[in-house]
Amino acid sequence: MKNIMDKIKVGVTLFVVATAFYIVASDLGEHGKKAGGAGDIWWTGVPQINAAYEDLTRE
Amino acid sequence: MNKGIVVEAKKAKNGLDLSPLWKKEDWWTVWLGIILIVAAAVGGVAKPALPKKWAEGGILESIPVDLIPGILVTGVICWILFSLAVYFFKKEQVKKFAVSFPVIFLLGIGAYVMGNYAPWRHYGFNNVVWALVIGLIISNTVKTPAFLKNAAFTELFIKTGLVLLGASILFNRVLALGVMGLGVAWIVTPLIVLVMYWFSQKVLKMKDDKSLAITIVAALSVCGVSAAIATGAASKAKKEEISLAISISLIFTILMMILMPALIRLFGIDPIVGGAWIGGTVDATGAVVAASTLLGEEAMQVASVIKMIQNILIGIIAFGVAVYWATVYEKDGDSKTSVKPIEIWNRMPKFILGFIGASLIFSFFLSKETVDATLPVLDGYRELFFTLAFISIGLESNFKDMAKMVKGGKPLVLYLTGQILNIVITLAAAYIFFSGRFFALPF
Repeated sequence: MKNIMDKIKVGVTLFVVATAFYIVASDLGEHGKKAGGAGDIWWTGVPQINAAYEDLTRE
Repeated sequence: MNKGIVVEAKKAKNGLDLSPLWKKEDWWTVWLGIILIVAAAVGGVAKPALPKKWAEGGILESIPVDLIPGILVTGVICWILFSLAVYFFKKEQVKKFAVSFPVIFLLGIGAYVMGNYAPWRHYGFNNVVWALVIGLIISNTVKTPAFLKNAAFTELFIKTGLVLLGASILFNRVLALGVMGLGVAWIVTPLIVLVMYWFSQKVLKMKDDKSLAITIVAALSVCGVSAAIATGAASKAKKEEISLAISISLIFTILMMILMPALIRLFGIDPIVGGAWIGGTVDATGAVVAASTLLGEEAMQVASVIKMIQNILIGIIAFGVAVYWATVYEKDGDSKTSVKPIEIWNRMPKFILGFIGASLIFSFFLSKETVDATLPVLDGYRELFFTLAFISIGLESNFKDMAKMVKGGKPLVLYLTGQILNIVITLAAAYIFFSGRFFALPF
């Protein structure tokens, strides 16, 4: 049973890492067409967040 | 009980001892934060000059010649501030620090150049991640030179950055989406934190890794990297533990940024509900905007504001974790003895006072104009200090220690289980609060 669990853990880990690698390598997120991205870790670094707040509060 | 705490408690008994205010590194993170906040608010310092984003135009786009003097001035400001602090809390090391710090700063600039390459940055490989990678490459290949270790003041950099981060935690924005925003961001998130921390202790039995557990839980439920840094510092997590939490969060952010909009469109979920769902679940703030843009303008606005409201929670969670750790986990042997307030005070990491204080001042006491003018300056320095901190973490870490933590897979199981629970409960909350069936939408 422990062996099966270990194999599942390794399988899930490899799947997650391989999928992430595929996404980055194939640029599935189309980086050039979008504002923001996972590299911006805080709201002050993404102008769209403050703009959205200003828009909503104005309304 | 920790020797230092006993000494401080005795001193406190014998009378008020104010010397920790200028002799302790922890206090200096508060003072440096205050110095920079005041200087930025009165216009004494400008936004730090740092390498720019670049892509097809080549690496030289990142550091044009006219930017170099500004980068040097930024380096000198950091050098003066940190040398001043080191002079007071570790006088014997200040000369070595002053000589070595420029190298750490240059490595940090290198991390910015790498992290600002647009295609990679989009997927999360930013300056903080590259700082860690550069540090790790040095420490695990040529070994960190002894002179560089003299300037690797990780806690000084990271906690000063956290005090500055506090300034952008604006509690006055909490009600931007009314009750609905609170429903998704402020009910689900604390629930996930509590349930998953319980899960880590009772089911996964991570009793010896409490700080790692709460750091991972905060990263997955609040806002990834920033939450991991703030909660890790509040729970006194090891440097490698914060790095591990950030690495796991980075991988899952890449997946969720692409898969969540695809799922929302596949199942025909209303874009507003989808936006709220993405805002409440995707870790990195920028990834929330990138993912929700695919669902339309309104969805992007809802997702952005939900994320901003959720970001605010990190102030409360980090403060709560600091108090809980000081009260419960660092308590003396007998668990029945109640902890005196003075002991909690002595154990509390002091940067948390600057962190919360900055947040309250920027939320309730400064004018909108001052806040708008000051935040970009503080944000620039905050990001730079985090980058210097992760250069230092990398320089002091080795792969073997990091691999030990992953052994057994518990951190990954904790993140995966927590994120699945987060995704399910946030979807339910997004439907309840943003489908328009139960509450009137505010736009």
